[in-house]
Amino acid sequence: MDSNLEQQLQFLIEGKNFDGAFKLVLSGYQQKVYWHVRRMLVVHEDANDVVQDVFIKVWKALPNFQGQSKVYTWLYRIATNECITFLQKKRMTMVEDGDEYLSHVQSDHHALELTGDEIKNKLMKAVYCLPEKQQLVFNMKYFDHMKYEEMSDVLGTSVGALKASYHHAVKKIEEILKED
Amino acid sequence: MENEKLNIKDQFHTKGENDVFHLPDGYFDELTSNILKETVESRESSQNFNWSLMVGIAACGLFMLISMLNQGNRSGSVNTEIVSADTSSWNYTSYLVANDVEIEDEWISDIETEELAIELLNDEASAQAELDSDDIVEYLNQEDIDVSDWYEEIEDLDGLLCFDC
Repeated sequence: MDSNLEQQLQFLIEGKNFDGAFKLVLSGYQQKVYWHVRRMLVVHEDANDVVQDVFIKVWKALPNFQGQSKVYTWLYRIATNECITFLQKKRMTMVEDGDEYLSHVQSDHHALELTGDEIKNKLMKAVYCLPEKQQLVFNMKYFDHMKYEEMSDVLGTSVGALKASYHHAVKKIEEILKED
Repeated sequence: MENEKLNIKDQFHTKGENDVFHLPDGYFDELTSNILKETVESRESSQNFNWSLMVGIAACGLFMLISMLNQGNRSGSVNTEIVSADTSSWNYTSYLVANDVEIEDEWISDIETEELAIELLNDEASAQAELDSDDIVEYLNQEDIDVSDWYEEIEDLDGLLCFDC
């Protein structure tokens, strides 16, 4: 998180320059939000749709932003909730069709669209073997380098529970990689 | 916790970790322009929506006003003395007026029963007076009525015609 960017955003929002603030949010955080969403949803087209929805929501809600949290954590909370809602909807349709969305996506290497080297691809596949909540915690901590306090703000979970969840996630990934 | 993370880092090179996923070239530039375009469209559609909402509210208000005026004209002829707010004192006439049913004047004119009886008896008396004695004898013969009965009938008629009694 860029504290200088956060200060500029707070200044623009307090001055009710919402268009300026939104453009700054978009340029400053769109890549982080995209990758956060992409890691959760895997498929680029799905991530693209959700990211656009997230920023439209942010644009609409920015005039009502209270400033009680950082824009960064507020943005991540919206993105995470949108992803969870998207996955729930997908699961509903996939269950109706007699299949599970994530297992379908994870088992399909083409759907994962992994282009990294072998070792990175193995890591990503190991991450997708974790339960959904542990995946989320691991991704936010390991890839997005978020602090536990920020994650707690985004996920509404205590810092202690997040630490435990991350610890379990790391152990499981190590076990999976050793098995390979 | 940092050591656990380092265990993974020891095995994997974490720089540029996001490049494990395929991403179309120039995607983020496209994403920015798409989002900005959507915000403009959203703003325009919300402004249009506000206008259509305003027109809708105005039309609805006008319709309600016209309905109220029409109702006022229809209920203007109702006699407020007859249609009392206290429904316990309502009678059939009040009901008819309240339901906008036309009432004939004759129905609501208060005709005295006594006056009606006099009118009917006068008609009968005048009919009787037009009979002469030959007609009466012929009538009695035809109908085989006893004279004493006829007298009784006359007496009864006199009794009815005696309004001072």
